[in-house]
Amino acid sequence: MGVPASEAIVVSRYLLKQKLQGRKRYPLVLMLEPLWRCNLACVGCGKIQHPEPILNTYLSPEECWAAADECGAPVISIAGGEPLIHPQIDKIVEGLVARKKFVRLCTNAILLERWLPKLKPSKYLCFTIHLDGMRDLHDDMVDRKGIFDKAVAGIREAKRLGFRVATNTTVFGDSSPEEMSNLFNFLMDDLNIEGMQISPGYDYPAAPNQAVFLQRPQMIQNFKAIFSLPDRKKWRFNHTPMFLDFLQGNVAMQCTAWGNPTRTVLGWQRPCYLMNEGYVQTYRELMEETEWDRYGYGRDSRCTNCMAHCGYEATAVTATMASPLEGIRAGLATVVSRKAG
Amino acid sequence: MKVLVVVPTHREAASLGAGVEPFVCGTGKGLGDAVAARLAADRPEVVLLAGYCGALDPSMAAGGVILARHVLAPGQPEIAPDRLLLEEVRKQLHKKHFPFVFSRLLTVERPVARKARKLALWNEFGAAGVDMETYAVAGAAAAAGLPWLAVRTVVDTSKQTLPRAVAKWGGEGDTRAIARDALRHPLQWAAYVRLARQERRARLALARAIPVLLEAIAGAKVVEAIPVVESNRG
Repeated sequence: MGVPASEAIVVSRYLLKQKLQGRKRYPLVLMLEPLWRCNLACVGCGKIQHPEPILNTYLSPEECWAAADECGAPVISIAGGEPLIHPQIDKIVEGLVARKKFVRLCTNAILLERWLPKLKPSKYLCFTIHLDGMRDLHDDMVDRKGIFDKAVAGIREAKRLGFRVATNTTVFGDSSPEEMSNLFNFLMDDLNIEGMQISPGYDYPAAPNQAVFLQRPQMIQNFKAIFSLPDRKKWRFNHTPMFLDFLQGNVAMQCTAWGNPTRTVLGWQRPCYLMNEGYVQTYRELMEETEWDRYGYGRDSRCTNCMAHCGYEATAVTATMASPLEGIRAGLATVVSRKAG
Repeated sequence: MKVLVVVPTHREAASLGAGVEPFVCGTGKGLGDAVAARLAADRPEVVLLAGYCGALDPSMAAGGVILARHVLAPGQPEIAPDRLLLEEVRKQLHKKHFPFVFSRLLTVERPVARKARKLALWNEFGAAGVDMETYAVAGAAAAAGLPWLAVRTVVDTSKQTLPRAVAKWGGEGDTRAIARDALRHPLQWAAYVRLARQERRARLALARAIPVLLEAIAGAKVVEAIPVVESNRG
């Protein structure tokens, strides 16, 4: 795994505490969306199709910190929309880092170089740059030329200044194993990023291009092909080995939607980061009043083709903690990837 | 409201307790015809299929309750219960804080004994549970134009490979053969003991579920069954 040992230890300790306290449901990653406004219109994105007044609504730093305190997750993924459009994103991050939360700032990196002087490198802050392929494919997926080069320049500058940098890649129908291999080799060998996140695209009904999404059996075949390539051993992923097994269809998992609660400008989104059945105003309402057993693969048709990390990585982490063998495997993966890095 | 409770075996029928007189439909070929004949003779208003199953959903433990939102069989069109009845019953169970999972049930011809096979079926069909009768019973009820529901409680989990003899189970007539095989293979005794404990949990769960379901059905407004045909994947 590409996650630093310090983060892995904090998360493990947190999980152990939840177990000892006998909590049935607890958050692992807070998905914080301080705005839905974006400066791109990616073909596979169904997050930003809101009326103008909602796109103009931003969470204040205080609201973001309150969400972090209310939820208590050790890791916070700031997504959106494009978080770097938020005029107070530096203040939001500073407050979360002060709370010793591991912050993953997910960005398309268009505005990254502008913000870098205003942010401080920290072991608690990691930029997660969205890259869906090498230049041609990525620019096609984000529907604008020049974004790949902009993102790569941003990654190089962030690394030069001492920031932690990872990437997030969504696998679509056009993501051939060779294309993914080229991207991962480039990210590892050339940019030497900390780790990569990978997830199949979720078939948002609102996404502009529905043709990019894969059905579940195709996804499994695609991931099997990607992970059978010879360069696989040098790729560092910010995932548990179990989640990567799941993507290849080697392990059965059910979604843990409550593992990644989502706070948006309209409230806590029910039931998960990808599906929207309305909002509640408190984290407690979200956890206690949602019919969690109603969602997941087989249980809701909208979950049929979902294999996203925001639903299944929490399952994998919990299963890893419950199995000594899986725990050792994940630990070894962390050590090996640190040495390789 | 006249509800016909259908169960595949006498063992499952015994778990329902007093006050419920189920129709034991059996397993295997001819099951659909037997159910159709009984429906024609009894003329119930609602059919409730109840029984045990194996879990494919990895989050389900022994004793877990599955209320079917769809039933499917390889190569066959999916069948859905009447939407209004299902939704009303689901809401009432939720209101009563009755723990259950609302998912698909897959029907196959032979027991699914190996965990690798369970994984393959889970990836292909996304059904929480697998059994050998639900599709035929639901099909017979749908053909008779009757609203139906299916509830199953989990015996074996998705991570568990069953003893060899259980994999050959084809109906209640095979129970003695399984017992004989168990006696001949002491190395599998632990697996049989585990299975017996799991069956007890499934039995208790079924006994708890049936009265709650019957009450929920009685309180529901039943509409004419409209079978919904969709793709059988996912």
